[in-house]
Amino acid sequence: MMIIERYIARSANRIPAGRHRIEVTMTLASAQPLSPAEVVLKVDGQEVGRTTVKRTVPAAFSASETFDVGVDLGSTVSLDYFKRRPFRFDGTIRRVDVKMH
Amino acid sequence: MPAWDSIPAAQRPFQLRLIEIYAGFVEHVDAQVGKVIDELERLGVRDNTIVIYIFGDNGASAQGQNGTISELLAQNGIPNTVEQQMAALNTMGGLDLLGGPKTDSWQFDATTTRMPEFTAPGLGRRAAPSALMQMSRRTVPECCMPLGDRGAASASTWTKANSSTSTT
Repeated sequence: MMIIERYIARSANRIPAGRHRIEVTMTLASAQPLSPAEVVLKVDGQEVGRTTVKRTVPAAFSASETFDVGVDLGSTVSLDYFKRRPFRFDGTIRRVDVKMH
Repeated sequence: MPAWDSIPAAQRPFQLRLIEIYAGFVEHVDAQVGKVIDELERLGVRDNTIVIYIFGDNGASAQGQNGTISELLAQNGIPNTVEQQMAALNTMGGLDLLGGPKTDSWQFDATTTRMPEFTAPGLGRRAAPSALMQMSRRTVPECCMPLGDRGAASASTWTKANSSTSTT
């Protein structure tokens, strides 16, 4: 989060080639700004990883950052691929849904 | 901005690095403006030229904070301390990363950095070179001064004089 905090959740196994449904769900602990959140990764409906972030970004001032799909412009989310940024996905993304509950 | 003496010794390397980066930024701008000055000289209009540097108010410490590894921390109201920022920096590789692509300090972002503005009020495009105005090169070391002193020093260096007499 804004460089100062970083969390990593990863699946134990590599995702095989082919069509998959990948979900990231983030559940805030409360409606308060900076609330902690539980983040769960699912592949084809099965949970493959999770992490608890201590606090979340309370505002949406993006300035130099961007909203990207299949590419990571601006500062990288993970330093693992920093040298390969913007780390463009070379597969096909058929659909992206964002749901708020 | 707190006085230098009030900054804990452990945080001074962080602040010194920010000052170094800002000095480097100012030097870079100065070098580029120097190219414009050289061209004005070549055109034979430099003696009728004034240049003004218009910098933001951030200096080495973005937005009046105590320096930052990420401008967006302040913009999004995320509480943090210099100690936390230094700790985050250390997990990534240390102080040398400040000012580079792994950190995000507002004044080094090419999309928001304010370059010197050249204006020609009321003179039109053709006469633009004669309307360039220059602030003294004494502004370079001023980046190392506390904010209050810097403001006072800047005011004293504003001049309508010809650039050749204002550079000391």
